[in-house]
Amino acid sequence: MTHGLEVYRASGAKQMDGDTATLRFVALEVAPANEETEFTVPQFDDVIGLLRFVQIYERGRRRDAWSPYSFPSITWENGPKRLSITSEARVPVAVGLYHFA
Amino acid sequence: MTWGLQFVNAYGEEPLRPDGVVMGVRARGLCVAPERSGGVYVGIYFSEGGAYPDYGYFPPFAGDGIGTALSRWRFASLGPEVAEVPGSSDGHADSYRACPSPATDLRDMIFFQMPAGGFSTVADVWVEALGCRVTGLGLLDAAEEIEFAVATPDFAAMSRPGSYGLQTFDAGGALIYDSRAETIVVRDWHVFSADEIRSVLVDGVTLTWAPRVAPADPWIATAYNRSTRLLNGSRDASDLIIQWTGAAFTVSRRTYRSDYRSNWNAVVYQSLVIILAESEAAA
Repeated sequence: MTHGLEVYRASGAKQMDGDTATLRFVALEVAPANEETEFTVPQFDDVIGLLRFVQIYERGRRRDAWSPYSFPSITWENGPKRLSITSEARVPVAVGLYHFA
Repeated sequence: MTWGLQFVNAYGEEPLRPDGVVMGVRARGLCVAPERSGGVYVGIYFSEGGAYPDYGYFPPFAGDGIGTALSRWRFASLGPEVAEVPGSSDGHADSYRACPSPATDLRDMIFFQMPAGGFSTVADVWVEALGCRVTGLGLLDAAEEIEFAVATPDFAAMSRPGSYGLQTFDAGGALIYDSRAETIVVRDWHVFSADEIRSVLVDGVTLTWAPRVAPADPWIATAYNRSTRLLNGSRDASDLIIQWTGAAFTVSRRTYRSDYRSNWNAVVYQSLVIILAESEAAA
């Protein structure tokens, strides 16, 4: 690496140079349990968003609300920029959208 | 954007593009192992009446007994604090015992030092009853210790010492980057599709991803993943092995033969996300 921007913290640690990318938070969507939920996501154009999910467990709902081998189906349509979550997991699902660049 | 200062990295990307908040570091620590406490292993899960550990909350390693399987887990927790809620509101005597993560926001993302021995599964759940997040990796080497870092878009949670540096803002005036905060040094990322994961578990294919940078001390972030394959009537169970060769990530399978035939199906093929980072950029 011989060119680009270098950023150092006051400690002297370098945290950015010309090979560095960043992870940038864009949006968080939470789909309720047992529903197909569709979100229209703003801001995305040429960079694909990173989709990730966290399953949310609520007190007292485990026995009738959760099966260990059923999971949410998450689809992403980049054209209309729609995120669709079918919460087969039968628990709420949180999906974070991030840019990587 | 029609004005301002544009930074472009060696790959033509714009790390400071104003379309999202650059994730900074909220906390760092050494991952903790589940502890056996009060008759149950305290980790990510809850027990039923405190009598028996319900390891179904996160996957056991195929072929391992419960104690062995749980000993492989490492959680991003500042432990030894244990969050616990006894009883439940629906008449079932469940109790939750968890190693709460310092990730206190659903937007947070946890980075792990890549285990030298590799990992198999990833847990990432929010336990509403406890108001906490529980995130961990299932390691192949049960003796390994790994560090973690919690990335957050919450500037209030970041340490930002000093009064100089570089800040950037979006068009609305919102702060999106502050060089005083420690950021995650991201190098590359990749997604193995669910179909590719299926080919690993079903056909024994080994997947390889060589990132554009090969750090000496790689860190990774990923998402909940418990891909596994066990068919009704079969004695063979398979799960994933994710390893770092020094230049590439490989995803392969391992298969165990049990003494007993399964009487149920456990078939999960989930896409696998890997974000490659470094603890800090090499000086």
